[in-house]
Amino acid sequence: MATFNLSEALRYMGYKTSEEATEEQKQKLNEVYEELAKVAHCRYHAVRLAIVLNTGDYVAFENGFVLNSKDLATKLEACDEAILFCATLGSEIDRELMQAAARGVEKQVMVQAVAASMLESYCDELETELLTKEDIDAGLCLLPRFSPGYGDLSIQVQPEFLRQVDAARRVGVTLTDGLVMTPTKSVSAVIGVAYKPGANPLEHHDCSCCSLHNCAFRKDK
Amino acid sequence: MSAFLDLLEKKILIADGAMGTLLQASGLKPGELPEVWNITHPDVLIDIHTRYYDSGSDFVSTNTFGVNRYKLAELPAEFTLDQVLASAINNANAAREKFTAKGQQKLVALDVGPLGKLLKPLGDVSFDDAYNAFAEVISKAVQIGGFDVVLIETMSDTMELKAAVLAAKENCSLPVIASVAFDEKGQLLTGANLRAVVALLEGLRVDAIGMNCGLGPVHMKPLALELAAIASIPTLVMPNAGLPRVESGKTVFDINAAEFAAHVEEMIRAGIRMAGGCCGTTPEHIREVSAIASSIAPIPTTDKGLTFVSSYTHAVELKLDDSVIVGERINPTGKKRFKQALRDNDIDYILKEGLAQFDNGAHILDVNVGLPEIDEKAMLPNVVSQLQTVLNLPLQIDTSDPVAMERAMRCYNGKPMVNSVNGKQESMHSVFPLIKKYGGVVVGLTLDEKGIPEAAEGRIAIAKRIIETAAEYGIKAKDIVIDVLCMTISSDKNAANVTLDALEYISKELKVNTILGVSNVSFGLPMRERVNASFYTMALERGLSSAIINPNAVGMRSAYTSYRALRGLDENCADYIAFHTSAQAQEQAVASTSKATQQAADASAISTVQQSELAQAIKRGMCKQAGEIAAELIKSMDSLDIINEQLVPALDEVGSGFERGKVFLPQLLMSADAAKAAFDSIKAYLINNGEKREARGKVVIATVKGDIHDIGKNIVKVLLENYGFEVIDLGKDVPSEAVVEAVKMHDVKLVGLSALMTTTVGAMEETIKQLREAKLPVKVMVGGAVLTQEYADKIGADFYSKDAMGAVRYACSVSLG
Repeated sequence: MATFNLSEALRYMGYKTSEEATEEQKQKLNEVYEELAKVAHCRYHAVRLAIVLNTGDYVAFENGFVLNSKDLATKLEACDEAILFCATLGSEIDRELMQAAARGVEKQVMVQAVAASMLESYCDELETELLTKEDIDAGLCLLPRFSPGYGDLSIQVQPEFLRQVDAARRVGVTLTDGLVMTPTKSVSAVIGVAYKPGANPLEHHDCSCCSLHNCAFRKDK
Repeated sequence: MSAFLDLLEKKILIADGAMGTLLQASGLKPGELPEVWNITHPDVLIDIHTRYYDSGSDFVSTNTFGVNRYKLAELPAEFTLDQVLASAINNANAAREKFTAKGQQKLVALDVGPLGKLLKPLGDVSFDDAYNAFAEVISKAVQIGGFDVVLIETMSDTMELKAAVLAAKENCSLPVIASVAFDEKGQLLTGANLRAVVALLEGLRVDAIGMNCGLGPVHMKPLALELAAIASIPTLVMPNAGLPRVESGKTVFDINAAEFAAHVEEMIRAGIRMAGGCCGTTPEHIREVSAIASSIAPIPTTDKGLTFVSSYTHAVELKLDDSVIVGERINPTGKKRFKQALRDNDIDYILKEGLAQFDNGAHILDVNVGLPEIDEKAMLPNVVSQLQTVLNLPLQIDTSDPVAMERAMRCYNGKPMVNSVNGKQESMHSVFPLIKKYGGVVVGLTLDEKGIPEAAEGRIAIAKRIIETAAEYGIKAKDIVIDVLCMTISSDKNAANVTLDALEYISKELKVNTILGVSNVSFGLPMRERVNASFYTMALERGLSSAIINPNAVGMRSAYTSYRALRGLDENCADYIAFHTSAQAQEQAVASTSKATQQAADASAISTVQQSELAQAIKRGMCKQAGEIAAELIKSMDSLDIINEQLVPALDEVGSGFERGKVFLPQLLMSADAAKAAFDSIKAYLINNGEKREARGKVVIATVKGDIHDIGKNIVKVLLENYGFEVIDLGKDVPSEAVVEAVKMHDVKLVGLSALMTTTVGAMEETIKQLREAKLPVKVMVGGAVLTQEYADKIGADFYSKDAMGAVRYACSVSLG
């Protein structure tokens, strides 16, 4: 079950702070969330793999899967393991987006913003299920999500990446010819499992590894 | 009869268990294509099949789950799809021969899995492409031979399922089993529930229906019991071996063979006719199931007599003792605005008609787009697909053109209602084969070559003839809904009585469902809705199963909800109360706006107040008010003046606020939607008065091939329309060729292209290249998240817009004459 973050949704709609939005606007977004929460069909599948080689240029996993990316290799420097996962809010949300488009573009923009926020929240929530109590007691923690398309990790790895997590069968996530994930409200990512005793087991996402420098939502500019 | 169906009559059939699980145990790596092993490790495959036969499987499935052009796109170059398919079938037969040599009857199922791609509108694969991909595999397999049944399995989308079943039935004469994967909520990945799946598959006349994968036996059991209770054809279950979990790097399942078999036994005792296993199951599981099943006498499968119409999410049941609403508004008869929308290919307008009825509680929507000057054969399937994109109500395909009917039925996602067949031989012979092939509940009109009988007896006789003729085509009475037709009481005082008498006979004596276009009864009378509502109640009382009415009419829904509450069909009067609450809210909204309009009219004889009110309504984003004020204004003002003096200045003010960061996107869009409502009012007035408004210029817009993000494009569209441009919206995932063609066809001078992903900007570049090569005098503006001015320059765009207002400003600046 995905929650939703109102200020995050407002940010996706172009508000810099929540104060800029009217109460009416906030109310509408809450109503949209109620509608979406009823139909969202959240699913994820994760595969935890040992890292057998990290050359600084690429990372190789125990089953032979290799990801070529200096940025990812750097992020996973201290990790013996990583989790590959794919999560989705389901195709019902895409149906809601299409219905909203027919009702008027303002509605579609709200549905889009709320759904995007729900997806982020869902990924944050499911991360709490990825580590066992034993893992946490042993001082293991999860690094921020790193997705195909971030930094120098090419989005071209998506077909193989999704096969690795059996995404089509397990959670129904597939790719278009243009490598857009369908359902569109889906995430695929690598999460490093690092040994950091005493650290918060779930770090927050940061924008530092992303090359989209003109992004309106960038947090570190 | 086929070997498969023959054996199925005699005993509970045992299928095999998991393939992937055993291949992995033999060394298959995650991500590796299991189908390649058919060629590289035939010994392993023959061994697996043999172990399943040996443990009691009556049939095993070929290792061809992923054999299709999409999943095998990355097949190593030394192998072809044909080779993979042939070796898979050979391996299964090599195992089978060991048993047939001993005189045992063993069968082989051709396994057909999903394509691994989502179909439109959720993904980018068209229904026809999906059909072709399945047809390719199945027709090649038929050439190879060596299997007894086609097993379509692990399907999670009804549209893809329909493509697979049609491909199997049109390219192969063997029996077809279709099996789907439900999740713990009892839904497919794209939302269909069990009843929707049963309706679709029984409609398509598959030989057996099943469920596999997705769930272990514990969670599958309640669904399997429901399946056994509602399915009228043999059933199959193939659960996983429980829930998977990872133990020291290996996936293990939590249900052992004995437990597994105990759960499956309950399903068999409830009427399930075939059982096997999916992920995690082994020959051990099958051995246990086989041992138990051999001692159970199969329960004969009976017709449950349920009448289902379905969409891609749910089924609507038609019953003799309750009634459903079929919305009648998607129909051009007597509606100038609707006719114009059809001529203009204005699908948005038709979708809004659909959404209004959806919001007002219709259960099924009638879809009629027949107009002499439009190509109904193309329009009907298009409107059906578009409606199914935005709402999940089952549809009633309403046409007298058999070609349009077939095309719409083929692309329809679910089991449609079909309007209509009648007692004429010609009608029955053209419509019944379509119902037989695609599935559907067909409306039978009680008229024939001699017209509509005056007396009830005559109409009943035709109804009987329709039902009997349908039976000759293999169509059961449960899939027929009789319309005894209704004439106006203004020309025949007995018209309603005759209709009601015939209706009651069909419902009570023939026990066949009925339908009626209720409003015909009042033709020629004043205050028609009052007569209609009373007649509706009378017809409900006589057993009407479904009514074609206007669900937006409060009186009709009032009659419907009151009747059901009074007849004890509405638990706690919940539907009645919900209707009452929503109707009250609507009435209040109407009262307050008419009051505001009245006040405005009082304040000034001329419309200056309304003028400034229109600007205010647009600036505040008040859709309903903007529409109503514009509807008043247009009666006394020229349309161009309203647009140029009221609409555009108001939008400009909001737009420049947006550009300065003072107004936020939602406010801009609310204003845009309000301006659109005002436009719609103006347009409706002009159409009704036979006038035409000249557009400012035409713009083609599209989200490029491979990309399915359309919000940015939709925002640009609504703003351009507000500024008076005619926008030809080609939608999303649009091939370059389609853009070029549209520019040529509509003689357009400006194109807007949108792309969100780095991977799809290439398609944008290609589109621009093709436009240039075609030497079309067209400007191209581009936008989208990953685009920059630099990139736009590189791919040869004329203009890069960072936001929607930029696109509007550019469109206004270039000459489009």
